[in-house]
Amino acid sequence: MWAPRHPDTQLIAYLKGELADRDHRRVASHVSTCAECTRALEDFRKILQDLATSVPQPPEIQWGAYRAELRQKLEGRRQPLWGWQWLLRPLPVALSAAVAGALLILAFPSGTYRPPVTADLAFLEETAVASRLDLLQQYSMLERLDLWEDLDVIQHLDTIQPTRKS
Amino acid sequence: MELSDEVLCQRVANRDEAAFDLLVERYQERAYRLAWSILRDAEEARDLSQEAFIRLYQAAESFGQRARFSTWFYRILVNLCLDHRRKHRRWRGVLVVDRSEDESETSLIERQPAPFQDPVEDLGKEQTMKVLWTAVDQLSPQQRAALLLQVQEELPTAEIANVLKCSEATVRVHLHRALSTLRKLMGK
Ligand SMILES: [Zn+2]
Repeated sequence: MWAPRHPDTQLIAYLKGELADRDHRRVASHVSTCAECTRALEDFRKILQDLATSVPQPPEIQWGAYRAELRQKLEGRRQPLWGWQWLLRPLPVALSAAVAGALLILAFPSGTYRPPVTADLAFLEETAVASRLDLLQQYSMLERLDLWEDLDVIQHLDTIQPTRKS
Repeated sequence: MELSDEVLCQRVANRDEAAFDLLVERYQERAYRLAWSILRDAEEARDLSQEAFIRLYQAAESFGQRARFSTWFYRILVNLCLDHRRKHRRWRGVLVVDRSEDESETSLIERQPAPFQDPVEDLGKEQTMKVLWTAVDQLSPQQRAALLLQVQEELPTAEIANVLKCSEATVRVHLHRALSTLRKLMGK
């Protein structure tokens, strides 16, 4: 004897009125002749209704404090960047010192005035600049790693398709 | 005229702090409540809902207008909570073992007639709801998340699928298994 296949996983979508016309009619027709599915449908409807009307509420929150804390966290997240920027702040100073040194050398050609100290300083500062740039590169790599971590959670966000018009 | 969530999110991408504050005010309660319903811990819910807002702030640029803002935001939030639970292995007992996303497993669900004798008569409404929600807490993370998005947020199946990063068919399976489990439990 032919046993009808119960449209198990379509029952909820049927309840929610989400099935395409053809599927909706097919499920409706099945349910009208299947006592088991009729019972299941009624029970599911009742459970969903019970749940919807008895959603447990979380402990109350002071929303002002919540937002203030959120602000603080957001600022804190920017902190590492500021930390590095603080480190980088002497960079323009070093650069301008080096340029000034170079100008001095050009302005006072050999014989008249030699500023060996300045030149050495410039060299030292160039090294400092180079090591900072190196640090900067390493930092941007770290920052990218962080970004990857974030992206892991939200990597498919741009694939979301619209489902209903608001 | 009130600005839509989507417009506000675009402004957040341009670092409009006021737009961010407005989005937080609009979503703070829903975010906290949803996080709490998944985590059942007020501190963690507070922390992770705030984390979701921070991610929103950082990733606002990647929000495409193709999506509804709420779906996009819930996706960040729910996945943060599910990841958190996974990492902390704090899912207690599980009544239904939902090891696989495989939809063919549907057939494994026992289809025993379970007459839904209204337990209200025996237990009283409040007690019944307590039992029901305790059972919800015991569902597998995916089933539970799908059910919460259905019951609390009243999302259509397609949006639940987007939030949970799975197909609509999978969401239907999750919901069917969840409700079948609850039905059996309540029919006792
Ligand atoms: Zn049937």
